[in-house]
Amino acid sequence: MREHLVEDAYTCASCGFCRFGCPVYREIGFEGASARGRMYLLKRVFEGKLGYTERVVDSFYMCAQCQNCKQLCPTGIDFGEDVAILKEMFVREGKLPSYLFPLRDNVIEKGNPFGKDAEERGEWLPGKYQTPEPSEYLYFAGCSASYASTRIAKSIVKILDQIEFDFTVLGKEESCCGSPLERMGEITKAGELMEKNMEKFKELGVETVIVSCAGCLKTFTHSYPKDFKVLHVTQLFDQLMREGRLEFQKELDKKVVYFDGCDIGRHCGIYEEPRNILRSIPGVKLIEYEYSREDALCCGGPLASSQPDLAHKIASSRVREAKELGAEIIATACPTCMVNLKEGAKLIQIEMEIQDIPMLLPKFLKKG
Amino acid sequence: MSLYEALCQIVGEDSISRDELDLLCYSHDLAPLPQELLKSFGMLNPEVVVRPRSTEEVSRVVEYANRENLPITPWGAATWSLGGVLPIEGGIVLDLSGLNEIYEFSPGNEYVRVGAGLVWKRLMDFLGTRGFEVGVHPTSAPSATVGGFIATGGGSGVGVTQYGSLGDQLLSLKVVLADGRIIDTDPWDSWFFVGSEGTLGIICEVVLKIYPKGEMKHLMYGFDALDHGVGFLQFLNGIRPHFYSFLDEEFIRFLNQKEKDLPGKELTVAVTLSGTPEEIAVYEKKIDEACQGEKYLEPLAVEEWEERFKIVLSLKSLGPTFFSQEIRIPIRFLGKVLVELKELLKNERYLIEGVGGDFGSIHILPLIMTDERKKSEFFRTFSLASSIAEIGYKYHGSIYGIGLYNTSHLPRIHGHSLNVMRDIKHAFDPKRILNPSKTTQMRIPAFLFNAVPRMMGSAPGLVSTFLKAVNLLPGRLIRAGLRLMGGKLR
Ligand SMILES: Cc1cc2nc3c(=O)[nH]c(=O)nc-3n(C[C@H](O)[C@H](O)[C@H](O)COP(=O)(O)OP(=O)(O)OC[C@H]3O[C@@H](n4cnc5c(N)ncnc54)[C@H](O)[C@@H]3O)c2cc1C
Ligand code: SF4
Ligand code: SF4
Repeated sequence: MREHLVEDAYTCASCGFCRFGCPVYREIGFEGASARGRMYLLKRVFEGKLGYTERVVDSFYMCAQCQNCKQLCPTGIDFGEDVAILKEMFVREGKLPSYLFPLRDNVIEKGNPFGKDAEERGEWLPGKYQTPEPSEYLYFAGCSASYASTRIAKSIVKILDQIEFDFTVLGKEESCCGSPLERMGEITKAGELMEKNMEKFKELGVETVIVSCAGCLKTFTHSYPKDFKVLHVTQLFDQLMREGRLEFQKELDKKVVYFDGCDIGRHCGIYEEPRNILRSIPGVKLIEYEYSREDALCCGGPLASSQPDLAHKIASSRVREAKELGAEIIATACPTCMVNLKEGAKLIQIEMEIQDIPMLLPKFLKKG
Repeated sequence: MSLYEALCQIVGEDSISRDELDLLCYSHDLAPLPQELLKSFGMLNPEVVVRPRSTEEVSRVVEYANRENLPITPWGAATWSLGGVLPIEGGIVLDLSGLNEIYEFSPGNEYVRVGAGLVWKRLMDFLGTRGFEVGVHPTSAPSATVGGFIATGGGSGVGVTQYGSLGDQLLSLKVVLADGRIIDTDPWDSWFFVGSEGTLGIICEVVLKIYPKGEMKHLMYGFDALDHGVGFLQFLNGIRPHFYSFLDEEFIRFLNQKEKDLPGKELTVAVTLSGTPEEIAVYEKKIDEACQGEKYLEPLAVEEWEERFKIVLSLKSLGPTFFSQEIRIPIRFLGKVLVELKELLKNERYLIEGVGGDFGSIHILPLIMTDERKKSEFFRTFSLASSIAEIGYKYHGSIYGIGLYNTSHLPRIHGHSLNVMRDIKHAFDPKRILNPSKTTQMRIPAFLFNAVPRMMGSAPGLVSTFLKAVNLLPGRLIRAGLRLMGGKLR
């Protein structure tokens, strides 16, 4: 682990290519906020000229691990991965920044980042889905859609119910997927949550887990054992559309830009399915960000719980760019992006409809 | 009022940093020079980094610095490797990356007006989606700034062989002079600032010629015999394609270690043509006829083009340190220079890249692989920089760029005109606040600078120990010592 970091620190050419798409550097503007800057700090650490002081640790926690820089780096450095290794080490050495304590404690104690009761988790579910039942498909709503952005989860359940798709939901028995803990370097604790969820999946004989949160998607595909299939809801809907089971009829005469979140995009390689869905809504004019797909710029969402001001500032840049493109709706495929972009719009007082794709769909659905 | 407060009043708190980590990050550039060496140059640390958002802000910052007699070091993206951005005299680092707007795009009159801190890639992407392109760009385009490329000469890069150097593309510059005055230049006096390395003025705005996007074709050839390859390159120089470059055998060998599968020829030449399909066809035929080597399939050439920004650096992990000294020579001497370079470097792990330049020149970039952690090995490699330069001078060429590290070569490069250069510097910047100790001033007395590399070559261990000892001295004492020996410090 350490060897890998040393190798990267000395391989870094200081070329600065990584600055181009770095959401944090773009917002702050000073070298210390870029991957190149932090690679240099690492080098100084390995030369024995700098210690892992609070300031240094903090600076690594400022990286959104969006992996845009990995795309651009000519020497093949995956800086987001280096940050993950460092964070794990910081946690082991008791150096987790204190502003992350509440988040950590909430997830560990309550099973969600908001500190809400587990009892409230399934409240929004229609009666029929209140108790989990054995099923091949399970919709894993995730913390955001379970507590904060319940309209996403409701829309999904409504759509699937309407087309008589057979699935189950964990509701109260669902725990956080572990993503927030993993992101802060609390790998062992994240593992405990994962085991808890895995047990439930096994009990119910689940073969495919459907997620609506891109963070869950990344965690399930990258960190869970490969005992089951994972589908993002946009993948499922796209599949159902192709099978003719899902169709949209009402017109949405608007310019829509799809926002490629990092977890679903660069981390999981899903770019086309969300676009296919949007395109299939009659009237929609789908437009593209100047930098999209692999090159998409992060909204800062991963920083929203630790550095909200910075995260919102970053998001506001993405909203401004959408406005300049003439977009009327920003469509996301991740509640974290959606919420953060909304905050960004608020910050610069730009009128913009920002919706997660599942929320857009129910009213356009072709009935029966 | 403190320096910080005064600057806050000009640019606002968000555009200024005195964070210890930022200050560290702004004290290095691409060159892998050990900190000991920089400290023995008497390097000071910057006090603040300022990142202005407009020409007016730059002007007010510079005016303030001039009044207070504070050094200012312009910073583009720090992708140049000659120490140009090192704030060696402390003071203010002026990070120009905030001047990144595209103010005007005029397809009818074929120009753009942009901030000097704009990154080339951004400009190229912007123009590309609108059917236009720039004439010339550096292969550091993903990070280098428009102003940085002007300040470092813009004489080597993609497009130079077709359109001339970057200086030929400049319609006007907005420059802040050392006393804070803002001037607009015409295409002719823009040349003052081309290659001025941040010592004559701060380039803030650039009006740049642009071209309707043409077709492009990429070709690649391999040569078993050095003189066939060299003859071919000389032929290319005559017909002025959009871009041409070569890689030596060692380069290919290293690339093949890194997941490539290229034929191991003595010289591999890549050519890019740009124009109408008819023009391209005519040129391709001529070039094919001139080639006494093997023509490769097109996908290989396209791949090489697409990787042009990354290809050299992709080998970085094999070093992990690269050391290089770029020389520019008249292309008629290419064969002799290559033979001498290969002889000089025969005991090193090295590779050579060459790129067609302006005025019938070719830029040769020998990259020597070393490891900066092994100090004595590194110093020995470092000492080769002078020998490489010597080969350049011998064949009527020169090193490309001065910055900080090549100041010891000043008398060699400019001869008697060095005093004229200094007079020009004095006229522009009498207090020597703009990027002091660079480009026209020899910070380290020449005799010392010439002796040290020689020592580095023969007794690198001794130099390493010596530097360690020097580093134990307080910075003030080092600076006083350098001054006593005739070094030009502020
Ligand atoms: C992978 C790679 C490829 C490269 N390819 C090329 C190439 O093809 N051709 C080539 O010539 N070079 C090349 N270089 C070297 C370097 O990238 C260029 O010289 C580049 O143009 C420097 O731009 P910058 O913005 O990084 O300038 P910096 O390195 O930040 O600055 C360079 C010098 O210019 C001064 N300066 C910067 N901005 C301004 C301004 N606005 N006003 C006044 N002074 C200023 C600085 O003080 C400094 O002395 C390459 C480097 C790398 C790493
Ligand atoms: S991973 Fe993203 S946020 Fe982190 S340094 Fe790279 S580009 Fe910036
Ligand atoms: S792009 Fe890669 S090699 Fe270049 S500075 Fe960034 S991390 Fe280092």
